[in-house]
Amino acid sequence: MGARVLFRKEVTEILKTYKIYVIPLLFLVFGFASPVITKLLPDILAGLSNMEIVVPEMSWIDAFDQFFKNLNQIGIIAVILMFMGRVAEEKHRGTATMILSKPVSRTAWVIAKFGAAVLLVLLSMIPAYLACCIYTKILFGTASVALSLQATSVFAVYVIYVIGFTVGASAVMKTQVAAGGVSVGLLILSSLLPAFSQKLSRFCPGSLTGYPHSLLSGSMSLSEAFPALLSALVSTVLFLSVGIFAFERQEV
Amino acid sequence: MAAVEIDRLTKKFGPVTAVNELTLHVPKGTVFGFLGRNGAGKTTTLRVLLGLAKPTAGDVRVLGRSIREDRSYLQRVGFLPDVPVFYNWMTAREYLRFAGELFGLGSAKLNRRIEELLELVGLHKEKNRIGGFSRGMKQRLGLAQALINDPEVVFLDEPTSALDPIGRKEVLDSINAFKDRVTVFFSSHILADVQRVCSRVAIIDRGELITEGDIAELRRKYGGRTVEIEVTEVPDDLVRKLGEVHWCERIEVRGNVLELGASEVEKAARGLPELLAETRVGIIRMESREPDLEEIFVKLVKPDGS
Ligand SMILES: Nc1ncnc2c1ncn2[C@@H]1O[C@H](COP(=O)(O)OP(=O)(O)O)[C@@H](O)[C@H]1O
Ligand SMILES: [Mg+2]
Repeated sequence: MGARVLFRKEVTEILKTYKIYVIPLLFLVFGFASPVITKLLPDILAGLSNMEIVVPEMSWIDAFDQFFKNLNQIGIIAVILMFMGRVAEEKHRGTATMILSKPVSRTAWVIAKFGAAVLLVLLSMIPAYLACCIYTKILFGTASVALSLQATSVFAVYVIYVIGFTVGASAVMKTQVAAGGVSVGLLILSSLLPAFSQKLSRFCPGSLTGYPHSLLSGSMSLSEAFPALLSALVSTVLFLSVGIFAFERQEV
Repeated sequence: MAAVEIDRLTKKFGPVTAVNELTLHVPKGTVFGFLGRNGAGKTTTLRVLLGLAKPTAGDVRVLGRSIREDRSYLQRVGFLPDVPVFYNWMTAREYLRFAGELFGLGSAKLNRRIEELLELVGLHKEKNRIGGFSRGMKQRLGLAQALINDPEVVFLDEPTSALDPIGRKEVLDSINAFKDRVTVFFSSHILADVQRVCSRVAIIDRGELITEGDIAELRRKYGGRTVEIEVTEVPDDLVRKLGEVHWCERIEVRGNVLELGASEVEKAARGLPELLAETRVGIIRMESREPDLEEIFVKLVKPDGS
């Protein structure tokens, strides 16, 4: 019961405070712009110089590659910026004191924040994906819905993982800047980890960022992505648990 | 059963001892003033009472339940922190609804309660978001949210300290309006405010209990009395004799008016008429007045560095 009330407050807050609209809008812009830029880029490059440059013919795969590249760079940073303060900022401002002196479960509170963040980001990906799909089809004539959906789903799991450690860090740290620092640190760490060992890389959540391309180009099948997908979800639970464990013992 | 029982509570922050072996009983139905200067340990004590900070040592029972055992007592208490902070995007009504729902209150009863409380704190006409509220409005909303669950004990941390005289009066009036229904634990460093609403007080300093009791009792115990006598004449004899008795700690003569500081009220009450009769002066007027909390406080709480 408490959990439902807390979740509803988080969702209402997302809807009522403008800054959260950044995520859906940003993702949507990526959805529109990625195929357009991919289509126009060769022409722009050719127009800019007098020399003959041989630009390889762009395909629908390149359009989606661009889409995931944007999501993975700017999109992920935006997600961290948006959610790094979800718990930490309430502790810092003092709203947490008001809530946690009531019969409220801290665990439920953190999970409500994680759940609302996941809901927002996943819902943001739907129109962005549709835009990308439609524009790619218009501009390139073809696009595989099955493969692009697979790639998008894999990326969605990666985003959940990022939200997991961001909200976890937010629960541990006292300020949103500190939580952001820890989150970026974890992001860098998880992107470096796959490089250490070829064998272990398929279990690394960080590997998921490369999978959309492999899936789109057909060099990998979805089932090969399972170990990393599973480990991303397990890591999400672990990060949240660590965050909750620390938060339960904190003085606010 | 006491509403709050604090038994040798100690709270340390590293080398700093914020609360030191504090023992305190707050009887049900009282408005209990928890007095101390800035940094005395009031907020820390309250944070422990609300389960926001953990005691270093000692035991705390609220409504008969040890707070170490479970947090279910929070269902029956209310809390207004020293600086209440809200979600700026909510309206006062929305915040109260959210707070009420966290206590599991159902919608029909909650709506009635919300309107009742908004009326009590004078925010019932307010439609704007909390982001635009003044400090005083936030304080009053804080008071309303502390009462949303119809608590048995409400903890107020310096509810008047940040307010101007009008804001203070409004908050004190609200407290006076609900104090018959709930035990109030009122922390403050403003003695005049405590004197206006509290029946019982504890004074703490540097984390330690200095004294505890009914205000009237403390006045008798520590305050002495100031006695003012208007007499027909002031013979030197009388002044000299007054200077010799031990119950009189101060004499001031202004024309035909004598002002005495009586340290032992009982003895003064018997000794003074005797003295006056001996010296054969006529009495035109005689009155005595009780010291206020401030005089007691100043007497008991040593200045820094001593
Ligand atoms: N979180 C904390 N960390 C370190 N010291 C603290 C903390 N909270 C309070 N203190 C110290 O404990 C003492 C009591 O503070 P506090 O309870 O806020 O006093 P009051 O509310 O009576 O003004 C002060 O010396 C203060 O500096
Ligand atoms: Mg304080």
